[in-house]
Amino acid sequence: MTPEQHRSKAERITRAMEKLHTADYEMLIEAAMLAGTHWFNLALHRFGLTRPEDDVMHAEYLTGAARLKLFLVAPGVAEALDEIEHSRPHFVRGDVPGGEAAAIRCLEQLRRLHAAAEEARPLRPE
Amino acid sequence: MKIEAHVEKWRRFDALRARFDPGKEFELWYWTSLSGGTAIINAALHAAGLTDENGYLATQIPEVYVVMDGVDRWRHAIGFRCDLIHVGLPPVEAPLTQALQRAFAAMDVMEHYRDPCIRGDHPITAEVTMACDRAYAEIVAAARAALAERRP
Repeated sequence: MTPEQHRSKAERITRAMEKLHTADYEMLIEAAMLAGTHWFNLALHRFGLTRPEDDVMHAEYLTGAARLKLFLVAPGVAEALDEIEHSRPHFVRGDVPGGEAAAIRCLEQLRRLHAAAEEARPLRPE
Repeated sequence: MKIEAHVEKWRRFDALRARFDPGKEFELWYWTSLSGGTAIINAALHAAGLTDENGYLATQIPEVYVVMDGVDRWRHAIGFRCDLIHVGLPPVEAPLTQALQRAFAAMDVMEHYRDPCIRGDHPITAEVTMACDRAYAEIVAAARAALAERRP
């Protein structure tokens, strides 16, 4: 999708998240993953690391080379999406205690992904 | 996870589903349906003896799980006959019961819309929301029927 389409989706999901509370931690984590992935793709497209027709569905599906490039231009961005993804087995698909605290951490990572997308600029000079 | 834990997850997703407008908030309405549907299908698969109740928690990679290794220590492990992350991921090797065949078929309908409408920008029409709503109702009814046939 184009950067603007990713923005539109991320913003729609974020608006709907207003209906969720910390106690709804499973969906807060899932919504952070969904919106965060759109911000992540927007950043990758803006950096010129991926094309709009090559969206990444999960950070762990990035190639090692792509992940290294992303680390060099935006350290911590892939790791932000990783933290959200790594919360899912324990607190969304699993019933490990601590879901509310995990959801709060995921919301922090979502804000980080949003900020990274807003700040992303093309790597290559025009 | 245990059957009861999956059913409790389904209850939580099902309650959240009612908060969202299927048209205006399709993404989260759909995702509560998908997640709740997957939870109750996992419960039904365990009940039918086709997958196992255990402490293996599903990651995004089929057949890779996280499992408790001592106190507060987690490790990744390969697992078989464990929870599904989506219908078909990983595939269930044994033949499905009739009720589970119905649940899987309905989940296939719902999954059809996942990437186009959530990851992509496929238009969210009344036909899409109605198809997902019908599929969810069928998943829940079929999975409950499978749970009612639970093997001792």
